[in-house]
Amino acid sequence: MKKTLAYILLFWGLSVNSLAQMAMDTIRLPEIKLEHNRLQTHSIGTDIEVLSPELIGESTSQKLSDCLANHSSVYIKQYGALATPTFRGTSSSHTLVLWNGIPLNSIANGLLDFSITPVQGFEKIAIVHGGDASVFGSGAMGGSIHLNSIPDFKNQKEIKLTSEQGSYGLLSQGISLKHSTDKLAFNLLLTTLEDENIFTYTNTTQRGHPTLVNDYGKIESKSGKVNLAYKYDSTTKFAVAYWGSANDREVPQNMTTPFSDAKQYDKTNNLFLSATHFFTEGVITLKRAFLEEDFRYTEHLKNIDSQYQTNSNITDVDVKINKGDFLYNLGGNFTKQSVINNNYSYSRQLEKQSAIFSSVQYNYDFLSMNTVLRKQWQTTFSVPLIPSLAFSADITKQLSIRFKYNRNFRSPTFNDRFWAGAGANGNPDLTPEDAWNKEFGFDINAPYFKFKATAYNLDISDMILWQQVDNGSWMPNNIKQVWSRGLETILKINTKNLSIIGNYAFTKSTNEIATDPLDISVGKQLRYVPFHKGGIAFIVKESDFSFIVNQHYTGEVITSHGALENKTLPYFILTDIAITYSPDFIPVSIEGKVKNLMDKSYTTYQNYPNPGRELVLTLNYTIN
Amino acid sequence: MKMKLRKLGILAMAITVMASCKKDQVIDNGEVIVPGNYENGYFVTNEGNFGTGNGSISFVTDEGTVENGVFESVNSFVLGDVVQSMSIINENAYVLVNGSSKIEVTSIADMKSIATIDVSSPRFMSKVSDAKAYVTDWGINGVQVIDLATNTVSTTIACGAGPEGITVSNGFAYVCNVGAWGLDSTVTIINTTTDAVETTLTVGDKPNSAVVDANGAVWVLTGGYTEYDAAWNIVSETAGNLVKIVDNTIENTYAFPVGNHPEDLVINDSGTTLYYSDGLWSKAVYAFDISGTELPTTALINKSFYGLGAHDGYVYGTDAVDFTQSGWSFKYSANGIIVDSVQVGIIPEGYCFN
Repeated sequence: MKKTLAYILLFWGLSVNSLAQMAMDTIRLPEIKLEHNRLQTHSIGTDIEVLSPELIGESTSQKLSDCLANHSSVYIKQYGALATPTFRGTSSSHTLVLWNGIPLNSIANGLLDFSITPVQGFEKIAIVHGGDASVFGSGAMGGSIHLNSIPDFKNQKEIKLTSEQGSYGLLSQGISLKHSTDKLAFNLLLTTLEDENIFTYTNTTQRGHPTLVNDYGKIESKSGKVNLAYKYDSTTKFAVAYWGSANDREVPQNMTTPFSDAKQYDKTNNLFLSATHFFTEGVITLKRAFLEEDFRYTEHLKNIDSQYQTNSNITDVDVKINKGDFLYNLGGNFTKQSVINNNYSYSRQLEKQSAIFSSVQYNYDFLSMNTVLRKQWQTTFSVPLIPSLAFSADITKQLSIRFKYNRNFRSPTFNDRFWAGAGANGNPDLTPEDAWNKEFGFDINAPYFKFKATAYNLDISDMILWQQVDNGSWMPNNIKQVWSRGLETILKINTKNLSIIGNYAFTKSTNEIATDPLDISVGKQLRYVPFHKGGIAFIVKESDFSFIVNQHYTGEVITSHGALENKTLPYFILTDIAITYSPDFIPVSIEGKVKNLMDKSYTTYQNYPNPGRELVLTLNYTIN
Repeated sequence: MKMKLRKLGILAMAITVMASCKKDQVIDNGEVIVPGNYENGYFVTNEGNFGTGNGSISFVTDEGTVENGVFESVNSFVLGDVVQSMSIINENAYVLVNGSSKIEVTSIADMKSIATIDVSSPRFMSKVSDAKAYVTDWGINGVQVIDLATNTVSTTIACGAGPEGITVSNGFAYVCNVGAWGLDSTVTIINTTTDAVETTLTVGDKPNSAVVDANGAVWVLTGGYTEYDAAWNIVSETAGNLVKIVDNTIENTYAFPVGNHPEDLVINDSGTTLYYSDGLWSKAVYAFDISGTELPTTALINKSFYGLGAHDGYVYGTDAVDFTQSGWSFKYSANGIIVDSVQVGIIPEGYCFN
């Protein structure tokens, strides 16, 4: 540990000294803008995409899974009750979701279910393509999603009632309160959602391809979000946020199975507290967060009753100091986690982890640079030093280029290490997955036109894979290697009444090592990673109306590898339209949305049907 | 399934002797071969990924060429979720699809679907007469009696918990009650004429498979049971047994070391050598002569297989690789020398020999 600290200091010392030397020969620039938000601070070289409010819309039933599937190049797998993302050809647990900078992924299994993560109630949703584990910690390997809920002080008052109905038995109600002065900002969102999810589909797996009714997939959700920000004085502010949710779901089976009695219950309680203090040359932010997750999955027909409760207690401190053209950022994190699982050998597992990260950021004329080092200590395994180096340069007023080279990691989950039972056992000797990411991109920012492209190369080693060992039981090991590379592009055109937002990604993500002498998947595209995915949305605003057409393409995916041929799911193109009418003379807006307008039959996971054309009507009554 | 297959061979012989085979059937070495596309080779049942519905059947010719997905290639639909086993009875193949709660009945000549029988959680099937067959079914903790003329369920017979392997000898069916997700230690013996339970024998914890030898004796393999407490610590463990049943009574019990969990009992065509997988950590295939007096300590094949088969002087084993890509089937001579291997479907589990 002493050596590591020495290395950090050495690295810092070198960078600061050499950069200071460079700085002496240059003219001074305006001071770097101080952001207490860690994402913004470390955006140099990073491919960040902020979800457009128009695309998020007003719907209380809109989920993160829909939003990403329809409006980004991220592939979403939807099966049973679960929707998980694939960023840059990585697996589901390689996406980190952060709520005000606090990781939300389950510490039991590393996942967050995007099908029960709503998109309303946040000030901003940002998608980061590419790993950022040096700043945000374990799991940010393929990408990260940042949900920011702390309101700004912008003198706003609003009460909004929302009612929503959909053609497959969707009924959702929401009440939203927003009140902010220049000292106090408060918002609240309470929603209830009931979705019968009854839709007809063609069962291509049965004789005669009958049209059947999917009548087992009911969802009942309740969610409450309260956010409060208080400006104590011009230099100090406090924030409190609470997000609680309860979701009860019937879990449908694949369409070859005639019935299901599977149910899933997810409850979360998340509390966030922060204090931010600006001083002459810097800002210090202290965050505390308490996260609780209560999960239960039952399938009595198969004798399955799986339960766990997790608790995380997180303390995070972040200091930024601005010295001339330099921005120094030092952060520390201390997290206590515990999981009680009916499948762990000691019922309750406790763990502590601590981490420090440090960065130096520098602006030199048209050039910006960011170096980060992170070191994490964990009770049961060691985490390597995680560095990051990023540059961006403004070539012209409208063209900038960026480069990033960083290391990322993902810690083994509690399930990976502590699972116990007949037929499967965790492996306490697992180490973190390791990934090196290189990416290069350029951004064109013209007044009406924005275009960005990023090429990346991601090497993941020591990936954790559950394998059946010779005695027939399952156990995870750090043996898989994946090489992912590709290209991502985003296009935005804005005119007075028309916006066009397009995206396209090419992803090649291949298995690089045989995990078994008979493994024939080496060099082949990973399962459920499309080579091509893209979409385009047209948003037209005309007086009281806005009109959105969104079309997106999801390429073929492999479901299983074979020596001669792979099994695949076909590509599909889906179209959604939405019309919103917001007249000035009454405080009401109406949104009509048709999802899957062309009534396409498609699937993102083998033999799991998706709904056809669906009409959703959203009525908002707003008092300002 | 394999045991039922063996029994199939014996039945086939009986049928041949009675000269009751149909005109278009060919008699070859005492066995009935049904003509068609699938006569010279064997089938492998591929479970597919649980919960995904991609189970399938592969056909491997005697020359070692493979046709995968033989059901969906001639039918416009798929087999479904977890293809558990397949049996050839008369001129039909019965494919038991566990997760999809059905039995697909196809013509063995071309694998075209004839009927679908709805059941609950089917495991293995055995013909008990020309008119009917028994299907073990975890969903009802009993046997579904299939009317072979109409391909419907005519009645059910209650057994123990989680009826698994089944075999038929001398007018009785022997059902291994493996206990499903819990524990059972019995074999239910059913009079196949009356469909009534004749008796129940306690053979050892978790009986999983059974075969009939050349003398009509029934051999049952039990896996032994491991009891865990709520924190998944091992509380107790019992041994697996190889049990010989003659005249519906236990004649001999050979105990395996505690901690081993032997499985997949199959028998060669002549009914003289048993094969099974066993081992404390790494499993291997052992051969046991029915006249033997103690369990072998030297493995015939030092490889862990997901499923076993024996036919025509060869021993077969499947490897599911990583359980997501296509698996493999290995063929060995009776003395354990590798002959060939072929790539089949996802999670190959069992064999069905024509």
